[in-house]
Amino acid sequence: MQVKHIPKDAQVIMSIMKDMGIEEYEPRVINQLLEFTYRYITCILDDARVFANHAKKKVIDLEDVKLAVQMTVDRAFTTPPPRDILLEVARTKNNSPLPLIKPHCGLRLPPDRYCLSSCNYRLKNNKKPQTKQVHHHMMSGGNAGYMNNAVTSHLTHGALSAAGVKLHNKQPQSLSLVKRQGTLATVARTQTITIPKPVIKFSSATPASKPIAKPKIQVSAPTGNVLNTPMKVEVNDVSSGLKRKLDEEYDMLE
Amino acid sequence: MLQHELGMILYPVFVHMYLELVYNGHEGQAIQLMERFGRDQEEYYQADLKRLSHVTKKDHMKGNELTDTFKSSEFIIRMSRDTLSILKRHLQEKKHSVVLNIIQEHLYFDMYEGVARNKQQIEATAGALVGEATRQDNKAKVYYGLPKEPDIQYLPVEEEDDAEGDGTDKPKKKKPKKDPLFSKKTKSDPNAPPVDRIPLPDLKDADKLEKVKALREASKRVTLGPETLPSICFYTLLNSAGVVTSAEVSEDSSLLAVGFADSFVKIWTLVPQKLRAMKSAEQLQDIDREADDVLVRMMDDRSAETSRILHGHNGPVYRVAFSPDRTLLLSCSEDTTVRLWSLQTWTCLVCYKGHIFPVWDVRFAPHGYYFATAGHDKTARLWATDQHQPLRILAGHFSDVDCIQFHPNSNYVATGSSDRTVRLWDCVTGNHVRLMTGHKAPVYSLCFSVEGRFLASAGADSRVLLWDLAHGHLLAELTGHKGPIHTLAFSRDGHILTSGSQDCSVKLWDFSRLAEEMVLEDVNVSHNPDIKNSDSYLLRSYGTKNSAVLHLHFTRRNVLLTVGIYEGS
Repeated sequence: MQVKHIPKDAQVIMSIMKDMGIEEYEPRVINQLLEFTYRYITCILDDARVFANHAKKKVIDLEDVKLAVQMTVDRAFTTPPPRDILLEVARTKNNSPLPLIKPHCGLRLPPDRYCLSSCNYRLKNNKKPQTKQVHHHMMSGGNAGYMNNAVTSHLTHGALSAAGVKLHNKQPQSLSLVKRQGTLATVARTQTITIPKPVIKFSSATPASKPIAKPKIQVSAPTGNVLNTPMKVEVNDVSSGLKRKLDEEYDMLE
Repeated sequence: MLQHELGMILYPVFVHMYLELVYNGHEGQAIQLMERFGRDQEEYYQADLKRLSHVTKKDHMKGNELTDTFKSSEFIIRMSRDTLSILKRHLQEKKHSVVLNIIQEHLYFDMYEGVARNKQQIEATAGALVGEATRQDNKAKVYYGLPKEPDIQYLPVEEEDDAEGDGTDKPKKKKPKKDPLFSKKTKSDPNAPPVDRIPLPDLKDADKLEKVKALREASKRVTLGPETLPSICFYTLLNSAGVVTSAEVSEDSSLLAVGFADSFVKIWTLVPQKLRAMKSAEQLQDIDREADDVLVRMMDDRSAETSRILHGHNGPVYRVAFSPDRTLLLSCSEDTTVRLWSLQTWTCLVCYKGHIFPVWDVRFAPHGYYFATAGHDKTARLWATDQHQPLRILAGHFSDVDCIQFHPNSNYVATGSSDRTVRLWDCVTGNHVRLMTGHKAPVYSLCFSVEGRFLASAGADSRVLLWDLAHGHLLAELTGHKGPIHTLAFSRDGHILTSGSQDCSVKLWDFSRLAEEMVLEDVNVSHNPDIKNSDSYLLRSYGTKNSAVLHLHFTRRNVLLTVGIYEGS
């Protein structure tokens, strides 16, 4: 039986876990913790480097690291709000009496905008022949804005035929999908969390020599916010935002 | 005689001494103090002490939840008048300023008249994060009874509903066997809440039919007792260790829902009738809406399946709950949302957002319409299906709220938490009306007795504790399990209490005998009752091969259904 050589970092993690009293764990836990440690430390040191540069220091100082930790801890590791704030919020909320229940047939659901029961896609009809159809087909799926290769090729194909007909009149459009992080305030401070809304920017650029419009889709994740609280964006949010913007844009194209 | 009560101050004084040393920068001495005296503290405080021992510098204290709790909340100790006067006298004589300061700042003594408690009584209610409950905490009146059931008439189509009618007045053409069910009038219980204390939805025709059906089944059920133990049917989930997080059986025992760690909810049918989906809108226009069986006609027979999967969550699903009429399902998840699913269209209807941390438990109210959630953010919330925001925020626990349960009259909600207390909350005001300490580890399961007076709670300390809601007293402690208990259930007639645990066993306890012996005692608010001990109440213990028990459910006929996860290795 070969003895597995465990790297020193993993041994450190194992001894930390023993210290904390954790005796049983799956072996992959060590890898996960190591990854987290590397990512977190790199993040802190990156920020510390920025602070050191700002203070015109040549080497990173303890002060810089402390400042970096301070800035990150409040954003990355949120804990539930302190009890007195919760009691205050609860007192305000509990003051209003329970609403009376109106007689109603069928399911009792919140107003439609809070439900997931509405249709989240729209089909456009084929009123223009040939070239325009291609654009519409592409947008009729209710996907969350992440377009895949098949669609790309669809557009290029359509655009090729368009190239022969009318393209010299139009500016080729390039699509870029940029996800911008909204303001994410932590609960300890302000009690509100805004869900980051993806924003789709359409810019018309003129690539010098290419008559073919190739939609360039980029999804750039915000850097530095790697350790967010587990907030997931509701799919419908994205698709409804996307649908509106895209509809607008395609109306413009016609 | 009094030393046991006096001994209760040792733990909080020790903790605060440690925190003082850390706060003032004496790291070495703090570590020495912990090593010297830490292990002498009681077993149930060791977990907290371990967490505390990781805090050695003042910077560590900032933002650490445990130290914040200790620093900001007083540790509550109940003491008799004699003990308290002796303690005060001693401290003044000896002039121990350090101890005196700590005691004055961080400890709160709730004085009671009477004899000092003995070791056993003290042990019974010790264990919570911040000490015991004060008399003030348990003073409010709790309406633990059940309100009078509305008279339900058997509805043939041509008769008018007569709301006042008694069963025996009905004309002969109705089936005579219905009469005994309706002829007994429940006396109004002084401990029952008035019917309009909390707004509840009116019963629809379908609900009334369901109630009649339930009553009919109830009349056929087996009465359980020490001589007649229930039959147990065990549903084992294979290949599911680490994957299945929760299971739930619907009230009429026809559906089983299982929540998975990879965010799905899967529903099986336990009866020959399969799961059907609703017809599409065009097809629905063609059906006859006045027909008696319109609710059956609107389902599409071609879509019948034995199981269905619901997709939508972004994280492990920690709990599922059926609505009483089985048309809706709630699921709560680590992704901080609670989702309402329709079991007729098999789609997600609403996604309730409010908790900003994982939600550990969700329960539907017995009358429907309301539901309650318990989360990591130390709050429990009361919602209604037609409000997108919670109606009540139940804040007061010092740590995660791990489980929640509605009282049978839907007026109260009980929560169990990682701070090792059980609290009872009033849905109307949102205030807590009972605080019950005694668990020595987080509480994972709660169950109200059938008539509503008693509450059983169980958790990681492998014990089942029984509380009397009239005054919040601990009545009995049932030991025997060797692993955390995750599920409790009372039989439909309230005679047997069952508990299922991770030690792969199901135990049956004789609750009817326990209840008889308990009510005989004369209990008032400040009384310290003797705690009943367990061995004589255990009726049977059933072991499984290696299946941790996830959920217990009694059918309307008192057959016990159990769901468990088989761990092969």
